[in-house]
Amino acid sequence: MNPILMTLLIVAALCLFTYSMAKRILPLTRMQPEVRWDRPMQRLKQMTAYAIGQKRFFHRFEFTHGLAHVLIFWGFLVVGINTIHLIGRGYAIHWSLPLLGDTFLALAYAALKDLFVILVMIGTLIALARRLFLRPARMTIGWEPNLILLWIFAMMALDTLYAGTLFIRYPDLYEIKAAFLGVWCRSLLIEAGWGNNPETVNMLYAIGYWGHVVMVLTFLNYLPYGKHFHVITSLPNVFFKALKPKGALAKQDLESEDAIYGVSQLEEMPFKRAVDMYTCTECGRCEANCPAHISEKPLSPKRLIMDLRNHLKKRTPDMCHVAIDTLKARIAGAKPAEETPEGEIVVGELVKDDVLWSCTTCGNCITNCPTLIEHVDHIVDMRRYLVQVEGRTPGELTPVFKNFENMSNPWGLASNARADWFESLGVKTPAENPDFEYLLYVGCAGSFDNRNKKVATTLVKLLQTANVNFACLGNDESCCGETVRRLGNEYLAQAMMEANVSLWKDTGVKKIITACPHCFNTFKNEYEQFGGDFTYIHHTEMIQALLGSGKLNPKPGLNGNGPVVYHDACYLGRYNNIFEAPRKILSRMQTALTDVVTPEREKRTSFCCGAGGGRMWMEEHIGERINKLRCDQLLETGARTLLTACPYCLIMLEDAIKDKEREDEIKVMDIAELVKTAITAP
Amino acid sequence: MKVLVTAKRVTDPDMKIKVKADGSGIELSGMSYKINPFDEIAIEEAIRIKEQSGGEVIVASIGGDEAQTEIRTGLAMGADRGILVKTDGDVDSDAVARVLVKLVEKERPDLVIMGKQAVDLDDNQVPQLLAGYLGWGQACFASKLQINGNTATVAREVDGGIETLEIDLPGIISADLRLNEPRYPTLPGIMKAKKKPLDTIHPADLDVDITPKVVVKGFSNPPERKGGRIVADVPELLKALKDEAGAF
Repeated sequence: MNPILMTLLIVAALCLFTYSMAKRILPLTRMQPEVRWDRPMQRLKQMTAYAIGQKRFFHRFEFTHGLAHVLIFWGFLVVGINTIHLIGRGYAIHWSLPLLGDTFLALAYAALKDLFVILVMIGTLIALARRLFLRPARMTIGWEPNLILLWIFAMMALDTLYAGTLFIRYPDLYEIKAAFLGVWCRSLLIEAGWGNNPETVNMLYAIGYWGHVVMVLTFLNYLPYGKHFHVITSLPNVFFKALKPKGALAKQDLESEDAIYGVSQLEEMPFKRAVDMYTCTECGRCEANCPAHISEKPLSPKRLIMDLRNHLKKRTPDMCHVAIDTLKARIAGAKPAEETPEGEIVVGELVKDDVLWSCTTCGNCITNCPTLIEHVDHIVDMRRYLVQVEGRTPGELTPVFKNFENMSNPWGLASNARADWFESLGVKTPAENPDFEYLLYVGCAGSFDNRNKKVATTLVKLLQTANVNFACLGNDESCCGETVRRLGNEYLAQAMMEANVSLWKDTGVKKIITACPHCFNTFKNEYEQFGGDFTYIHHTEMIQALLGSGKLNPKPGLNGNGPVVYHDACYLGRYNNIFEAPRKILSRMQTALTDVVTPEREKRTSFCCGAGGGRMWMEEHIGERINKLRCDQLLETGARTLLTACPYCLIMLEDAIKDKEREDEIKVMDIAELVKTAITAP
Repeated sequence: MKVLVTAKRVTDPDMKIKVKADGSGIELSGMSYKINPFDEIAIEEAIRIKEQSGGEVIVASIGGDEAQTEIRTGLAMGADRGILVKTDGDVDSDAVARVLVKLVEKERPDLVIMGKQAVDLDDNQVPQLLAGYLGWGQACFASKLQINGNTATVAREVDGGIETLEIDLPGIISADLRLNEPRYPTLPGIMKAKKKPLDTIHPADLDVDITPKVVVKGFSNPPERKGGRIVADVPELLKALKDEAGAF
């Protein structure tokens, strides 16, 4: 016990810590304000699940070391309470937190704490072994994380030493009854002969106690300076996570006077982006699942966030300086300076254009990040800058934007030929069938791409067979705007989206079926930003319902083309959690199929076909072709028929098969086409 | 340098074109329009000249109120102001040229750049007529343009090669496809364009009579192509060419 020393230590540590935190927080005030604390209950819930509950660590690819992190983190929470005790005991040896005095709860806690001391030590050893021996490519390996792991291990060891010596000095402590680790340490010390020598005990006690306290306070002050800052920022980062649906991009304000048309520098980013940067643990789960990175494109989501963080740290002194000046001015009652000082443009400099254009927006990074960093939003905001402010895009995109703008489809084919494909199918427009129940929104691919026109035709025939009352808008249909938005052309996308919503409202549309997950995602998750609250149904859901209600009856005995594999489209599966509908369709078809096989990457871990985020319309001249990688993964299962439920995936996978010159033996089909073969089979 | 450019509103060439049943014109319901792509190239070239050596770019269009959209496109790309000469109904090439003569006399540009032709009716008349009326030099179908003080060096694509001309300024240049690739307007450009000046005047203000000298009598579809067939050998091909196609 040494209250003066303890007070000095704590005051010094807290002063230093406050200084460090101010340095980290002040730059945030120079960034864009944004409300990230609305609906607090929902935010607390997600914080409980992802941060406290460590949800993302229970991943099927990552079990052992995921568990190691969980043990260390939960250990921190449990042992952390004891640290408060420890500091309190610097003043009064029998002090304890309320409810943790001489109570049963205190005993339970003592046992739990000891258990976690052991678990944390095991966790650190697992993590250290991975870093030293397995050295996974996705992680940033270095001495610093290793030192931290050893530091944590040492803190646990010192805590145990402290407990052992404490129990020798104060055998009347209530918690001894349950603190098995401390008791074990005490007996160890006594056996070794040290426990009987008061001088040795006192010395070991001092080492254990002060060693632990100093290590904890040092650790606390180290946190804001390294990647372990995530210990502090993960909780707020998860709390601040955007509550918009996963598949939605934020609606950009393009109207107001001071509207920011795209993000080129820190000052133009919402403040949460900086919390993202602070929180990145460099674990590389994003990178290990990123199709761009795996196919050797210049994008690594991890690298992107780390680069931005390094840049933020570099700019911290000058941002703090301006922040303090502004604060002073505000306190003095003066108006803050009208002219905001120039920041430093990162897009095109630190973050190269190719990095931003490599992204397929597949969402694998965001669904794998344990701390819920929003990589795709970072990327699209910077694309918005490139397209809308600089007009700097890969050359092939200029005609694509013009095609969307003039013809409302990416190919630039005549918008008044949009309905040509259904001329002979007896499909009615809302004018011809005003009492339609469903609108079949065909989308650009189904209307213009020859392969996907066949899928659209098949779907129409299925709906007609099942007597579904539907209509198509025909030439009045326009592109959904999804690709345009993800390419960063928010201005054009908003115009397209608004036009669609107003047309549907005027036409009396209520329920919309679409075969394209990209249209579906943008309708379901983004159209509410434009007042489009319709019911949206993907064709897999519709077909599943029709099979379930007996309106479609597959005939058994059909011979498929060898084993069948289903490829989860990113925007259907990962973004919208539609995993079951296609699988239920398959199990309903099973009698007719030889075999259904599953790829290693499926459902949430599925791998992009390479077409998302507008990549469909861009040259792929760097690295390997993503569609080839995905195709190989699917063929590894031994499948002879590749099934999709997305027009983009269909085109990309079929192209990959053609590149391999295997189109005679391997079939690529939409799931609707498979159902159709079973419905019409004799 | 002050450059006058044109921006004709044309039916989008990518649209499916249908001739009206009575042959009086083409079906315009559901039609989408855009700026004549060759004019867009002309505007881009003018803006590049301005970006390099300063000056002013004026976009002119002749047509209905809707043609303001095409002028705004030019302004969004970076032109400084627009002039709409408002007309109803069809205006023939000669009338367009005479209207432009008056605009040139009013604005006194150092250079006029326009599309080599409009992709709706493909007349390819106005630049030449305009040069004739003004008595200025002309360089049509430009694929490369270099301004050197009071002259311009123009590479023009002709059959079998490139012809390089030098013309005195002021002069008339018509833009071919490969002169440049027009930019996609940026958002600040689009927002600024909304506030740029756009004057509307009438042919009467310019003292031009736009009564057409050329009247379109009717439209009809080209004859439908007959399907091809595969012949077995050369003698059969020769026979078919001789007897069926009357080729020789």
